[in-house]
Amino acid sequence: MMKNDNIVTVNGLDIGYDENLVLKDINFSVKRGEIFAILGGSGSGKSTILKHMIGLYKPLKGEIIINGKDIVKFEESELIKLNQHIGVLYQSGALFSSMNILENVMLPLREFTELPPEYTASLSRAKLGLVGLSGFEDYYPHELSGGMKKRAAIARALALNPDILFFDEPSAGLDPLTSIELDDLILELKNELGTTIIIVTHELESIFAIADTIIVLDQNKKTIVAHGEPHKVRESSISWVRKFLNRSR
Amino acid sequence: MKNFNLNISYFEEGLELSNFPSSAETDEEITICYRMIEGIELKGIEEVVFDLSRIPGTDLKTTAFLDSAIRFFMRKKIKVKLNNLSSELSKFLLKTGIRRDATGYATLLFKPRNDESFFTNIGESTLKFFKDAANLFYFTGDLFYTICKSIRHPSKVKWRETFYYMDKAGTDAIPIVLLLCFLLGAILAFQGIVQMGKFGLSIYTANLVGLSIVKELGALMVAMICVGRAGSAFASEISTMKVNEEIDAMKTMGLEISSFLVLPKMLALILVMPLLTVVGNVAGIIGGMAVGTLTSDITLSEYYLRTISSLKCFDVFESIFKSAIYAVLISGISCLRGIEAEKDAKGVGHSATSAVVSSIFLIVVADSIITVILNS
Ligand SMILES: Nc1ncnc2c1ncn2[C@@H]1O[C@H](COP(=O)(O)OP(=O)(O)OP(=O)(O)O)[C@@H](O)[C@H]1O
Ligand SMILES: [Mg+2]
Repeated sequence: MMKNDNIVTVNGLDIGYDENLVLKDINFSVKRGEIFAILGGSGSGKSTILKHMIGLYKPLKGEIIINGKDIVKFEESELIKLNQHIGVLYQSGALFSSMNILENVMLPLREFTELPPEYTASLSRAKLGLVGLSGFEDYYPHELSGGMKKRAAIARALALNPDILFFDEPSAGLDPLTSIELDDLILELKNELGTTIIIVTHELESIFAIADTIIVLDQNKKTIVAHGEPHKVRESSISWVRKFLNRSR
Repeated sequence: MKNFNLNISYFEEGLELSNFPSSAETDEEITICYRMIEGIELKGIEEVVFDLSRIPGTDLKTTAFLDSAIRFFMRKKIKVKLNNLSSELSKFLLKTGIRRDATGYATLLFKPRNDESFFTNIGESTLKFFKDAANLFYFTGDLFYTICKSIRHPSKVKWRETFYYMDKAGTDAIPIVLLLCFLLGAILAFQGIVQMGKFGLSIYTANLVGLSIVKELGALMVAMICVGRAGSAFASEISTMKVNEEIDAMKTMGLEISSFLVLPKMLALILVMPLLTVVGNVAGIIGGMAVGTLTSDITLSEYYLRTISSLKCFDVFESIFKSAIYAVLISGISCLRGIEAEKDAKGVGHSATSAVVSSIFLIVVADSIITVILNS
């Protein structure tokens, strides 16, 4: 079988909450192993697209093809299977507050692998170390700072070595140095594990440093207004997009 | 096909491990490897040497495996010596919290936080007791202050919230109050007729039902319903706000928790519970009347007259007074439990449970005290 180059394809998608249209006529595809960034003003529907791509909501119209299968038509059980191959970082972190962060990271490993519990604990500890949280494994989410929560949530998203990672504003709330480290981590995941990463971000520097392809959403037009490599989009003919990407007034 | 082979060789009072699994190995192989380590005969062994010279590459899987193996031996109080540790691998191990000390032995970088001994437990519960007591005093004082202020400036009371909670705790509770009190009256009448009929006294059923419902059970039943519906809701509402840091936001904005969150709820219950109690009393008497007149030869007018003559104005006052006191207790303790809640999802559930249990306890205690005072 020939491997399809596109791991995610979105066709003619209209999305919204209860008939309240947020975005319409969305088309794009994500290549296997690339870093794909979704940009747009606050409230333009970035998180909404992400939530639809992981199957949390059904779109009003259109198809979302992941690994050659249209997930819009998926049953609950198929979605659960799909979810073991994707990792998601929610904008608010969404750590389970009744578990400490080691248990948070261990949970998917416990549920979906047969590994010995001691080894899963060590693996989770290693993942927490990767995001700079060694020594905090027995802290509960409410005892952590905002950025630490975010990093713990990243470690949880990485737990099962997913094929696709969805990150909703991973670097929001991180200091500049940590967010550079996060960029390096994302590149490492891409280069060494071949993970496809779909990321919502506002950090211009990180977009130009890591993203292979970007799309820009416009809240007024309710659709994609620019699409392509970051450096090309920066020279876009639409002045609003140019300003957005050059941070000019 | 295995392309690794964990080597275990024994020497005097120790053993040496080499050839560790790498990222190339599957989950099954790693599991087998870990089980091999678990299966090692450890009797008389004081030291394990890890020969790390042939670690194929540093990555999370290798690191995690080494970490789990090292911790396994350390739990068994066996010293672990790390030989030929590359600087890169040692950096990886540091991230999982394992360090090689100057003598080459592995040590844990971080101590687990909660080491619970008997004495720390006693200390903690004592501290918690005093903290709870202090909280209670602070809460009561704060509330009292707010009440005094509200009496002087009634327009400052959050009447909109108060009406909202009156609606939720009062109007919505009427059907269940009617039903349960009606059934309670009916059950009492049934028991009364059967038991007192044996002595030919079934006519006194009307007195029994009227007095016990009005003096005691009506208010108690309404209180239980309000604990379940309103008390638990108050506690979980406030504790959820606490989880979302809304309480902190309120405090920093200079808004008073007691006047924003507690007083409207308390006022609503104080206004609504006596009314519900009156409704419940009437329903209970009607329930008794229905069973009393249908299952024995007492006539409706006889039953009615007996009920009226047995009840004094003071009994109705007692019922209303009790329910107002219950209202204060339920709303007060439920809000307090919400404010004291831990900042996590379990805290919300726990605060609701504890609100219900504490309310019931306080209601029964208050009931005994009030009954003794009013009837002596
Ligand atoms: N659960 C929901 N129900 C109804 N409408 C929603 C819901 N979540 C978001 N919306 C609406 O959808 C629109 C897009 O929201 P979304 O969260 O996708 O924005 P965003 O691009 O992620 O913004 P930000 O950068 O601020 O996170 C907004 O107008 C918002 O009001
Ligand atoms: Mg968002």
